[in-house]
Amino acid sequence: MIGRKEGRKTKRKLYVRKKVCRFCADATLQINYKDPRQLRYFITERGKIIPRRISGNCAKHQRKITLAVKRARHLALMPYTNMEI
Amino acid sequence: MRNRRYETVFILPSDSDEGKKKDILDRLDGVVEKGGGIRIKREDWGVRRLAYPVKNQPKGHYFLLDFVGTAQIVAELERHMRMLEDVYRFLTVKTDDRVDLEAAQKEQAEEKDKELAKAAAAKEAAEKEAAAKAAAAKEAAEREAALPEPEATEPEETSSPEAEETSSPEAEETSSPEPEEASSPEPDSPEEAEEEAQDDKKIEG
Repeated sequence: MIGRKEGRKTKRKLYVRKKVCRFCADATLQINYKDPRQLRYFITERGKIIPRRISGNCAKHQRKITLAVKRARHLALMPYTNMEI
Repeated sequence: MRNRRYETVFILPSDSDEGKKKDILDRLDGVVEKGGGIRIKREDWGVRRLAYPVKNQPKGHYFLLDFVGTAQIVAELERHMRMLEDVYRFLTVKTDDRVDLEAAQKEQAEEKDKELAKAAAAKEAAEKEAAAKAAAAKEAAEREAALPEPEATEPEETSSPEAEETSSPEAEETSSPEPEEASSPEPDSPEEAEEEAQDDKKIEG
């Protein structure tokens, strides 16, 4: 989480809230490409997948999210892009 | 050849007639069965709005086919779907690598029972509705016949069996919605937001 930006950030006000991967915290949550309502949380309004550093997912679950979003896009359950915004 | 469990989601046109849809569904079932697979169940998700137009259509009828079979069946199924103009999109996903064929057969039988029960229930409901309609029509006709009577009292409102809904306070939710740990995808600090904006620019520019 802190990683490469640590040196730069310590000079300024250090404010890093520890984000916990929601899928690690709650094992009952399943990542499912058939549920666009759940996946909508992980895309921007334009339809882009939100990066891990912002969503707070762990690497393993981010990969799953990405795969699920891409599957949902193919099935027209989710947009590839939304140009109206 | 190893048997695996797959599920295929596919989209049919929302406006084509039922018979045509049924033909396609039966054909796909046939492909699975002919290849020696076990068709476990079919889910009908109904007509849904597409996130973007496919073949210039805003809506599609989603179906899910759950089956056990070999890779050859999947290839054959996808070949058929590619040939069918009416299949807008399809996606096959492997859901289980190892299957117990007996358990799958059992599940298939269970699902079949469920489907039959559902069909019977739907039929019954339709019959009931038809009967109610007929009764209503009869009543209306009778009322009309009674109407020409001079100074007839207003035909009494036929009391329809309206189910009075009483809200049960027992069903109150005990768990109050806890304030969730806000791990929103919103950037936390202005710095991060700036970075994000820059990233966006890079991608789009």
